[in-house]
Amino acid sequence: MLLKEEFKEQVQDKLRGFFEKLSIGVRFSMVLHFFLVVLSIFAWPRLSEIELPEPESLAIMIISSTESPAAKPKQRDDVTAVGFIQAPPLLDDFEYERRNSDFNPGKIAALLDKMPDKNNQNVHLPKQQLTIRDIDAIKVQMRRCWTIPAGAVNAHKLIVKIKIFLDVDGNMITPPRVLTRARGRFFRIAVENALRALRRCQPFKMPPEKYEVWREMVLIFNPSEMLEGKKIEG
Amino acid sequence: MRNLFAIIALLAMIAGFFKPAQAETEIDITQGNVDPLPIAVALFEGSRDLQASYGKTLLQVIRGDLIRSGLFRGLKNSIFAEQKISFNKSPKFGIWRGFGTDILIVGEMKNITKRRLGISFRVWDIQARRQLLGLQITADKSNIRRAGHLIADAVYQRLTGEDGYFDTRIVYVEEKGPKDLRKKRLMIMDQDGARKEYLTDDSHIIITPRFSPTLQEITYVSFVSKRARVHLYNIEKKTHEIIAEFDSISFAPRYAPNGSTLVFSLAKGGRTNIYTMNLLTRKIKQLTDENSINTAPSYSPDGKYIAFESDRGGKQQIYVMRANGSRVRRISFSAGFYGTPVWSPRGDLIAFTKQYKGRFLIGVMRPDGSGERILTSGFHNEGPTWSPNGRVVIFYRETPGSKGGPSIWSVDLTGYNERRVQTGTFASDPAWSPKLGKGLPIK
Repeated sequence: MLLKEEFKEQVQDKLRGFFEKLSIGVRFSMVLHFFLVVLSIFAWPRLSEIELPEPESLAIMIISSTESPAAKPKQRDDVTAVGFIQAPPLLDDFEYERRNSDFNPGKIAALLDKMPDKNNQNVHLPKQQLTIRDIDAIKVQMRRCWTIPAGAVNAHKLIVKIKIFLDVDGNMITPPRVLTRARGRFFRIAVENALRALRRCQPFKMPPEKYEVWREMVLIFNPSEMLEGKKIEG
Repeated sequence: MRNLFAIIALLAMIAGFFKPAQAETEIDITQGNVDPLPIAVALFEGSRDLQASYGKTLLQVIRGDLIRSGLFRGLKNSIFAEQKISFNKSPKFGIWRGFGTDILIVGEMKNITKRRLGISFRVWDIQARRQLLGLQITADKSNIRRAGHLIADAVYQRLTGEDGYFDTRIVYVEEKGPKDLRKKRLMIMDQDGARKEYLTDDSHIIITPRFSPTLQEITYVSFVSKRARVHLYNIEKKTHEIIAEFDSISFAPRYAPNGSTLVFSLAKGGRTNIYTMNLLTRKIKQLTDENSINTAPSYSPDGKYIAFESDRGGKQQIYVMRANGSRVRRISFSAGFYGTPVWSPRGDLIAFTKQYKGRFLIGVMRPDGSGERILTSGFHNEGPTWSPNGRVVIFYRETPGSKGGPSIWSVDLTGYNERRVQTGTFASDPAWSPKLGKGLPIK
């Protein structure tokens, strides 16, 4: 009890001392700021609700509703969904099987033949790079093949990374691998559009002497630059 | 032992094949195209009778909807007239790929009862060699067109991710007669122009019909003895109701998203301000109180904001305010006179009309005023209204001269795919209905 009293006195003394050191102008400014803060906390909500006067009778006549409001229409049953149907088994498609078999030992053996022979120390191939021209050639091909619906929403969220594995003729050996995880229906559509583009574009026209560099590639499909729409001058 | 070595050698070879890449080649693909996707729709299988009575209609409706959207293009029917398509077998993908098709739609029909038809359809991805969607439905034989629109919506949604808009109707004002003595009647039709019906006679001038977002109801204004009457029309019951009469109404009502409030503007003593009316209580509330013209209000889809046109700053510009009338801020700042803002049902854009250098333009901008884009420009363009999925804008344009008149046009929000909406006569003031139902499930 005594301690509390003493403490109270000490605080009061300190405050008094503090204020006495301040000039009148500063004291006045502190009091004014205090009032402004109190005003903003308590009066603001009321200030933002501007009460408009009751409108003068602009209407000659307002007819009260005699009918109960139009009811929500009962679910129209012109058309009803019964259920989803499974796909039938896929037909043999010789050309596809020939080109795109998931596991084809002949294909893998052919690839292994093309790999550099580690034991042959006399052959030193210079490290090849894709030139800007090579990369542009890929982009030009993709521009023709990659179709997306005009005006899609949130283009910046639709970036899709896909890894492709090609044979020396530019055909995909195995199905492409999607590296970004799909979230949401728009992303799923973006992935489908990118995969459709890759399948449309094969065989990719690539420099055969640089096969080592382009046999595995990651393509990053980013539609954000594309989806602005037609420009018409006003 | 030899076998063991062989296995180890084989494993080593395979491991060598999968050695980690030193530096993976990565390429940014930022440019593609927005060309329409090539799509083939086959005549649905069924008896000759069913094909003649319903198959041809379904084909025409589904193909028409998808191609008119501008996102798809069709194959000439003659190309696959010889193709044997079997609903319960997968297609010969190589052959369809050779035709240049990416998507194939097949179906079959069966009689269920005298009144009901069973329809099954599949959407095939030719490039991926897989079925994207397979659905079985039943439909009332008296309205097969609606089944076609719902199927087209399901295909559209599965391929683009966006909600479809084909199961909708458009209400507009039909105009007949000489330019100075036009007879105007309210007309409703399916969005593809079919099933036109008159909703009023031509005894009074009517303007700007609007659909309720929640009910089967339309509001419109008619002028009788120089007074403006606000009407409600119940589409199901086909009944009219007059709810108010004003000295002058400068902008016909629009519904709030909750369907139970109308917003409109009234002129008095040289000033025009914005008001709301609660349809249940019929109570009127004033939202703006300015010494200027404030008109053409339009709610945001969440009901929290209203966009409107005002000349309080000197010339017509677009403003946005809270639904209670507070926090008004201007959002249009470029040269020209801005008017009739209409908020997209998707919430991301506001369509508007603009007059600039003697031309009428229709454009879109984001609700903060940024990203302004012009969709169409010409002698006259007016009255934009959105499809329920916020992708298409329809409007009307007048042709000049004494023989000229208004007609309804549509354009994508991207500015592409501008085309005339067939109404058969002069037509103005279109309004697009919400979707008539929930639509088919696509998983």
